[in-house]
Amino acid sequence: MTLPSLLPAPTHRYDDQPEAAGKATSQRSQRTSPVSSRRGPPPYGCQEGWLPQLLEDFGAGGAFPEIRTAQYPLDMGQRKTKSNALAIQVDPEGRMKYKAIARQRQVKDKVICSTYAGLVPKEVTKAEDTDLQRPDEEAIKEITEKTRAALEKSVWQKVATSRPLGAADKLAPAQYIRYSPTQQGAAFNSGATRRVIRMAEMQTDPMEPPRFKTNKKIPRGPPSPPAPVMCSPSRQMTGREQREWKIPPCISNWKNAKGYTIPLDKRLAADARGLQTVHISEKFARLTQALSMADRKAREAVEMRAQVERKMAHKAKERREEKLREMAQKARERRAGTKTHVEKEEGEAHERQEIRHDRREERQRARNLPTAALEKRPKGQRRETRDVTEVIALSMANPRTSSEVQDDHRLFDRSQGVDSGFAGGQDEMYNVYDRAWRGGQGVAQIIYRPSQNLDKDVCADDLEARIKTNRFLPHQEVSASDRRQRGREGPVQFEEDPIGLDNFLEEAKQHGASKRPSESSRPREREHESKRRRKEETHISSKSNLWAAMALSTFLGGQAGASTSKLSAPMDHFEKQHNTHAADFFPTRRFLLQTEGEEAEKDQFSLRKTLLVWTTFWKKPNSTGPLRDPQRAAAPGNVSTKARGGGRKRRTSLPSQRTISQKPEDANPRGAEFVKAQDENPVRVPDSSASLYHGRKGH
Amino acid sequence: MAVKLRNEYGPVLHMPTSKENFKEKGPQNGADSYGHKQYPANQGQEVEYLVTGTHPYPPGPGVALTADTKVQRMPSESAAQSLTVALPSSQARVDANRTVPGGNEYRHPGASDRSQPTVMNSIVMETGNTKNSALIAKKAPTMPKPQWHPPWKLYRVISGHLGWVRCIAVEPGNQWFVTGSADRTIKIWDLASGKLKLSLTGHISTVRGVIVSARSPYLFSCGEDKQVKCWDLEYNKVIRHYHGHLSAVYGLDLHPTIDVLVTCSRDSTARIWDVRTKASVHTLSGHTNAVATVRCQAAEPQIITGSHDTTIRLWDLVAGKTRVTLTNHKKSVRAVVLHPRHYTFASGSPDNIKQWKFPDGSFIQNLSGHNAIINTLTVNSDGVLVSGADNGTMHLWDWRTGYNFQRVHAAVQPGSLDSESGIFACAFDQSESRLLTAEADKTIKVYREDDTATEETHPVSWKPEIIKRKRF
Repeated sequence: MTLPSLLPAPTHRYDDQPEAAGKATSQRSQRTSPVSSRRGPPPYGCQEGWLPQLLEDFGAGGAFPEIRTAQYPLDMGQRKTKSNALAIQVDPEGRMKYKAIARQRQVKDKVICSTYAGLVPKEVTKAEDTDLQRPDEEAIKEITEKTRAALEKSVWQKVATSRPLGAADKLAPAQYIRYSPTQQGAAFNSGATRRVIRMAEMQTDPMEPPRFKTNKKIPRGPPSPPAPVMCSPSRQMTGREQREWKIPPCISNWKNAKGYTIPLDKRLAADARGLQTVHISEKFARLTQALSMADRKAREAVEMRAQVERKMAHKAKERREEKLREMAQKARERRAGTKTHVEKEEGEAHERQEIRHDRREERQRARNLPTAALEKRPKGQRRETRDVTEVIALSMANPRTSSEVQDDHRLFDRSQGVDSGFAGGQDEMYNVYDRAWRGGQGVAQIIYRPSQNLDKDVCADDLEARIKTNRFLPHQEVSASDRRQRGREGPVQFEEDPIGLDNFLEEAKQHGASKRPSESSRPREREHESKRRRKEETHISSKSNLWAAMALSTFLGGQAGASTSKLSAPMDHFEKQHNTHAADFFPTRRFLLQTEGEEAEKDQFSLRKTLLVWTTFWKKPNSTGPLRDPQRAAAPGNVSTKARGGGRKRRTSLPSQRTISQKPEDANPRGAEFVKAQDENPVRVPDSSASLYHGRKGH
Repeated sequence: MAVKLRNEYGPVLHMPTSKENFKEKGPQNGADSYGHKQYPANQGQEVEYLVTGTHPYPPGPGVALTADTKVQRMPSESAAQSLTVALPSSQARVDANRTVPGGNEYRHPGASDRSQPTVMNSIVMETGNTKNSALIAKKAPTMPKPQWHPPWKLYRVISGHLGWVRCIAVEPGNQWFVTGSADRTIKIWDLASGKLKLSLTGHISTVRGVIVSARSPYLFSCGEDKQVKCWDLEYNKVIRHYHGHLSAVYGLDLHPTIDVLVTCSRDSTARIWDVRTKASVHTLSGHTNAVATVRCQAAEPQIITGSHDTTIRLWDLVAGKTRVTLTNHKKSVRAVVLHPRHYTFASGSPDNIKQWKFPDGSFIQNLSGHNAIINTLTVNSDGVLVSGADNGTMHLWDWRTGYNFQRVHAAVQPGSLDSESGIFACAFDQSESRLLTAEADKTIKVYREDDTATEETHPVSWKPEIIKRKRF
């Protein structure tokens, strides 16, 4: 008689029981009995009182509908999830042990506070309370020993790898195992009924690398469950607190990646400069004050001293001067005693001298007047009267200041194609520019134009007319000459001597040196000599011939010193005749020699002839004496047609060295005289620079 | 020139001087002065921060600080006022303000939590330790009279570090002390004279912890460069590195009886090192944030860590597992201190200083009122608990009753900003007559007890009173 048999059959199944039942079934299913050979359900008809509980009770089939109970064949319909609900535990008083929840899955010896009492402060106890006392020495020593042992063991293991290897581990002694096989008989185990097995540990190689990889990271196990939180949740932050914790965003003066517009006050707020107040010690001010005062004092003292010194020096100087004056007075008085009557005698001369002096000054002043107040004139006028070099230096000749269009006009001419205007792409032709630089008011016009004011005294008011006048016109036009078309514009261009002047001069030099012409030139010279005598009267009288001759003479003077002496003699004579000075006549540095006409040969010849005439003519050694020849001077402007009748126009300006020096006192009256003569004479100063020179030189 | 200056600019010359005089006189004459003489004698009415002037400092470098060479500046009134305004209002001040008309109902800050209210009796009954507890009418808890401690006053400022002084430790022989700084140096100073004895370089970042071993001539230091170094003080050289921390090491401690070093780090672990073999015995992992402080003791639990995850863990050193996790703090725990005699410890957090009982970490009481980020705690055997905070304030408490008997806010070193006052570490020397604080104004300040003070001059303002229940 057992209790279950007495009790009535249960009417309900509890909710938590299926799990237990399932556990039981699984346990049972795993428990295998070695003796049990029964598999599957009992055959039909023998199922009275049998319940299918295990998996194998169903065999491979399904549920048994005739048996009225919950069946889970092949575990179908079983609840899979496991509940983490804890079993209710109660304390001896029968109260629920809620602590179990906190202790769930915790290590057993962990202290977990789970009561409200743990939150509440204890009553303040006496200092001598036993529960406040530390454990006694014994206990501590015991704990220490225990801990040290444990730690040493742990450390020993950890540092084992770094330990030097000792002796190999001793092998355990061999074990002997005796056993008797179950299958007995002659056929088995060689007929033996018993066996003895010797079990010995195999020697291991201490240097053998590990056979199994141990460097795999083992994933960390789940952390220990969290401890119960014993404090109230932190309070919600009030708005005020939030505002207090508001940290203004960083406003950089250098970066604004998002490109926000930052108000100025925010920028200022971000700038921490305003937060600090600068404290400057008053001592700084005091020090500065003292320094500045000392400095001022020192300066004053220095100044005073300097002033005193200056005064002293002044006084000393005055004294010295006084002394000197006295001495001079004495000397003068001494001299006056002898010279008073002489002075009276020469009073008239002195007066004249004074008048002369005044006049000279006046003249000088009048001449200086135009140049003197150059700066005080109005701007435009000033600019006009500027010297050329000044114009260029002041970049007034800058073409860009002019308003003319800087276009290449050839580019507009596209009637024959794109490249037609630009010289058709011909590289050889030097026509890079379509027109001259500053063609309209070119530099040349500025340069070779005498400044009006300067030349007024020289050329009077008809400067324009003079410029326009073609001065060197031949009386008779050579047929091929194209003088009309070619008015000279711009500077005189120098060309290599087209007429073989160099050769000729060489020859002349040789003649001068040897005084005897070479063999080759002798007949010609003789011929020339004869011609010279004939032409002396006719040609030399003409002033233009004289011009050429003088040009050559000066040239030769520069080139060959030997012939200069020869040339100077006739010059002397010439000066005597004309009662004028050679320097007045040839004031310019530039002489124009124009040979034109078809017959270049003839031209050359005539020139040569002329020169030879002069070389022989000027024989006297007196070099710089004035030429005076009134008859010759009366007839200037007769240019020899032969000299002028060249087929081709040649412009050759020969630089001359100015060898004749003038005294300023002399130059002035002569210059004036010359100007007067020029007004009457058709012969002009060949270049404006001559007048320029005269206007300026010596004043 | 001086004569002339005086003659001509006399009035101007003397103007600033007179102004200064006025300023200096100000706090002494003022009706509600914050002068340095103000000791909480009248603490019941107004508990204020002790705003001292600058400490006396020598006029120049290399000049010994003596009585006749010292330069001292008193703070101006306005500065003191601004300072006190900037200081957080403590419970005491709030209370004082509230109760000033009454004048005698002072409730001091530390005592407010200590409660065993009658409402709680039912709970006690329910938990049912003893059946009788429900029947006995509980005596209303009263606050015991706190022990009188003489106040501490600043008497020396040692300047020499070029950065924040982050940690401080006093040698067991009490001859010198050692500081670690943000200038990456460790400096050893003579305790008696305050002279620099030695500078140790080797860390490549801020030194966050130093400790001198009592069992060996070793000095241990740890820094934000993840390094833990062992210095041999006979050679002044690093002889060992304890390599293993993954981030800045924030603190370290030595086991008093076993040659074991414990370090805590920003990698939220604490590691236990065998000093001799440099082996990491255990890695105490479990904190979920940087571990700010660690302490060791010989009795169980042997290791206590406080972390920025607001928890304190007591560890089983043998197993390297957490024994207790204390989750009562609401803010990060940056300081833990063990009482030298009692089987208790205290932990500091910006919300509260809490006292606990070993071995299970049962809560004893709150010491509230220091409303700042508490960086350091230290206690002497007399029962004076010192809490130093990030804003430069230092509170001194009676350990047993939690009575706050002094508040100090020392002025910063001249040349520093006001915001640069902060206490990172403090320590009593071995004789417990000096209190050394490591500060953010790059100085070490030394305090000593005021010998002239007596219980009469500085009475404890205490009233046996039924303590109100404190809500949690």
